[in-house]
Amino acid sequence: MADVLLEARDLRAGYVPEVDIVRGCDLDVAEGDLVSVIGPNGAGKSTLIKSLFGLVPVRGGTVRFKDEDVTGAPTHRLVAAGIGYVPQTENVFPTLTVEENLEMGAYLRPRILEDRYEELFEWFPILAERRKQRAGTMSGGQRQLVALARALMLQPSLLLLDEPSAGLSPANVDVIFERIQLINSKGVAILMVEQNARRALAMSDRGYVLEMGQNRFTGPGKELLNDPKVIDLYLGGRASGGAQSA
Amino acid sequence: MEEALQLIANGVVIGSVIAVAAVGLTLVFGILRLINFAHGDFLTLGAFAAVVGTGAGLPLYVAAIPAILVGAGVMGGLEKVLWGPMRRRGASTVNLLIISIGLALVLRYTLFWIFGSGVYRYGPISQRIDFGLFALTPQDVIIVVGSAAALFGVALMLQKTRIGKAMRALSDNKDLAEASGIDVNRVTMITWLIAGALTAYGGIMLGLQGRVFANMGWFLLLLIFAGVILGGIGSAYGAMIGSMIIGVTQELATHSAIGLPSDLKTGVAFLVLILVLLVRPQGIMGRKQAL
Ligand SMILES: Nc1ncnc2c1ncn2[C@@H]1O[C@H](COP(=O)(O)OP(=O)(O)OP(=O)(O)O)[C@@H](O)[C@H]1O
Ligand SMILES: [Mg+2]
Repeated sequence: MADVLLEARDLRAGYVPEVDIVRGCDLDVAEGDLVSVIGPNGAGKSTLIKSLFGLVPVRGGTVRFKDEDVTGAPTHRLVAAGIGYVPQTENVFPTLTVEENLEMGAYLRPRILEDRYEELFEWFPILAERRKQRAGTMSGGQRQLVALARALMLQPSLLLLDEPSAGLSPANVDVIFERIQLINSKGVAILMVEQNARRALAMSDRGYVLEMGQNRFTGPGKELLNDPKVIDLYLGGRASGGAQSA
Repeated sequence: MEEALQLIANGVVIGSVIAVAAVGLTLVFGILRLINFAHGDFLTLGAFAAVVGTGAGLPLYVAAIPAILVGAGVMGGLEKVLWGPMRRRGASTVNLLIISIGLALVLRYTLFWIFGSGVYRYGPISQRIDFGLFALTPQDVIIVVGSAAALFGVALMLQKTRIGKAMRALSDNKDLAEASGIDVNRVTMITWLIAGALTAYGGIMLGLQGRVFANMGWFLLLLIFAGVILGGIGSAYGAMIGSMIIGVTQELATHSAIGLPSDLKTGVAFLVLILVLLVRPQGIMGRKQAL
């Protein structure tokens, strides 16, 4: 296994005082890995990602990124350290143009803007055509691409994706998963929460099944995909194909 | 017709002052969702800060500089000692609104205490200049040109500068702004400083119309709110347009052909506000999900 990039130990976090949503999670992402987190609605998947990224207060445990303790660090510092994040909902600036959305992604290093535009417009050609369009007027699939591109502006070494395929048409789901694999193949580690569990696990180096804010199952993606208990409880029973959603 | 043109010109003058004040109010709202009832009294503060300078014999354009710095400094200082700590303790929108009303009273009565209830002037108002279709005093002309320049500057900042874009991003989506690496506390502070400078500047413009007195900003506050809401709360361009419409309608309402007493002119401006909101509840430039 490659070097550990992100490591969470016994993490506890929540919104309301006294109510922990994440209740003692462990999580590892190695450099260049693609890791999926699956689990039922309300399991605390989004909260887990947010607590890693300083958007939800951490109440216990530790988070280490690149061998540094970043537990409870402010979000903008984690961005500077090399983490990108795409939230589950409201993941673009609606009144800003595509170009301005990307510019905000590179807020910490405006100098690299032109170079990054070039690469990202190559990865997402549709965004080059829509440079001057307001993100709020775009389709769901296009908005998801804007959100991905914004999060990639600073060339993060870890990308956190919260349900990147949610609400997209089947064709757009294909596009998003294909882009995610392309990004990962360039060496960006990815930690992604997905409802499309079979498909996510099939392409993952590691998978985590989360329930009630705690780890239930952990292992290589393909192993979880074939684990009868995981199949029964979380993948909607035994199905034949690997690529279909549950 | 001639009378109407003159009234429109007068409306543009007062609309310009309202617009400068409204943009400051709406910038803060856009970022903090804070409805600042003290905003009108910050206009008064700016106007009086300039009175101190002119009283000491400085020309107004020089006295305006420290006055603007005072406005920015007080708003920025309050973010540090009041609004920031309040938000961090999780104060609700209603809590913050009530606090702003209290702050308005404190500011106003402090000004009463220092300057009394008298009326001050920056200097004598000059003769009207005849522009053919309408006539305005040189002070009125300075108000319109000065306000237009300030509003143009704000628009340019919002559209072109890094900080301006960050302010718009923050107003769109705070969490996402944070997730993009924007230091939200810093941008919030800068927004207060800009709003404070702008509001003091607006107060000086208001004083330039004639009189400086401790209730001047408070009396204008409802019209500022009207301009902000009409334009779409949170939208800076909306605030500019909305304020202009409010200023012009309230002056036109005094047209002799309509025959309304001039005390009712503010009422007419609010009637227009209500009619527009019935058709377009989010205001002229506002987005549906605002608030
Ligand atoms: N902002 C919030 N304030 C208070 N409670 C919240 C907040 N957001 C989420 N919760 C609560 O935290 C719990 C876990 O929510 P979370 O969004 O992390 O689940 P999830 O696994 O991502 O679910 P989903 O699959 O529906 O996205 C839920 O009970 C939810 O009600
Ligand atoms: Mg979620």
